[in-house]
Amino acid sequence: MFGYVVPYKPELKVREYEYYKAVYCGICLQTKKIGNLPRVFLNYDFVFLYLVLKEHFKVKDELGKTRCIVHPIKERFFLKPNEILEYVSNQMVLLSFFKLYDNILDEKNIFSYAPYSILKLYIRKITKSHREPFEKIKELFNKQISLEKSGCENIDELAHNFGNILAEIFAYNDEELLRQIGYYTGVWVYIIDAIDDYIDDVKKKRYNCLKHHFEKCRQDKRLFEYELSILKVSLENYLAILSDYVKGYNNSILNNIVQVGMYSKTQQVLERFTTNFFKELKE
Amino acid sequence: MRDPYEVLGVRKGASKEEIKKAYLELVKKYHPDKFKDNPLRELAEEKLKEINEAYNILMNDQYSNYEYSTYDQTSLYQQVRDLIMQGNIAQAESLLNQNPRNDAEWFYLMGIIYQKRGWINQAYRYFIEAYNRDPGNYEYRRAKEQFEMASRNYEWSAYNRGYRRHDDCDICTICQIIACWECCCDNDIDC
Repeated sequence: MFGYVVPYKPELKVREYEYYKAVYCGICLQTKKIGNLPRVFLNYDFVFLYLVLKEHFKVKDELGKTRCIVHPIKERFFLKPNEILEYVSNQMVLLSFFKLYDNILDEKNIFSYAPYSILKLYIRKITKSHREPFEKIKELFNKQISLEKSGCENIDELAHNFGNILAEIFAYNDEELLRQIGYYTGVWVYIIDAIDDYIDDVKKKRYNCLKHHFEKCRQDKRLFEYELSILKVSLENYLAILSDYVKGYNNSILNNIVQVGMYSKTQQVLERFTTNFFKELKE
Repeated sequence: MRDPYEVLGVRKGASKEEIKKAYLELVKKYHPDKFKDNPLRELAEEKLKEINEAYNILMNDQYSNYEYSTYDQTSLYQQVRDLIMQGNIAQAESLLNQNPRNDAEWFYLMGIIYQKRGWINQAYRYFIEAYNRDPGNYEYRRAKEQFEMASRNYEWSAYNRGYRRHDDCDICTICQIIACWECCCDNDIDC
């Protein structure tokens, strides 16, 4: 995940904000038990995963107070470990492993090798008990990579595959509803990330799944707006489905994330894309 | 199966020479010899299989010159609709893909198939196409507007919660900046 699934901060109550940060710290401290390295990959998206799982299984969580290496001066709240938190942190390690794996295959990046081999050891520890989902995610990841390698032009096919990866990650105890939430989060994240990276990717001549749609828009402003409006409608449709699922939990932070946070992220990314498209891509 | 024209990357109604040329190029690209000791080998093989299938379909006269096809149009679409009703999406899609036609209903049915699968972006594109080809049809218009409606409703709920465009530099932003300043190395949520 890439840090798009975040709340809209000005809309949060102070206690919600404090709680949100406490979950973040909780995941970080939990991950420390596995190892220090994966903590680098911590991001706010996993708080969303925790909140969804917590609401789904109606877990009562407790807060504690501690100092840590990032915040040595002030004591901060953190979430005391529970089963769900452990699951979330394991998933985070798993996903960062695949991210590195992707980097190695993709860019032959030497700097990814060392952390990759260390993470591999952790993975063995984590997946001892549940090997099956790991294999499934691995398979989906390989498919994603080969789809991108083959220059697939169908955004939906790619986003669908990525959605399935997140569905697997969200599906604690194989719950169908969680799978759906994971799927639509993944699809949205994939498309928004592709839009966000588009200009950079074109400049560096990297693969981007939107190329097929936007390549021909370079000279034609009307065509560009047409393509953009299709993307916008589909993104908002995905979010509308997601917000319907999340509404059932009646959790104000989750509602904030899906209804305002992700909405404003969408607007922000599309706006930046529109202003930069014709400015930056002049030949 | 995907649209054979799409698999080979040629336009609809391309001539046999064009199809053959595209086919040979793709075979060269995905030839197994090129993928020896490569993790992508299996995928290349799969792709090649698909290419071969598409080539065979297009080379078969019935499909490349679909005007002369012996299919009865209405019964085909009815068949597809029945399959969709039964929830047999995969078969409905392959039936449609085997009979590429350029009329509104074809695009509409394809849109339904993609919608059922949750591929909204693709579905919406097909509905727009169907609507453009036959703007008078109520069914097509409704399908297209349904998406726009969902999008608008969602947008509205976001606005109802008091969301304003946050990149305006108002007093709120200034407060935020000051707040961020205060907890300097605090890794705050960016928004």
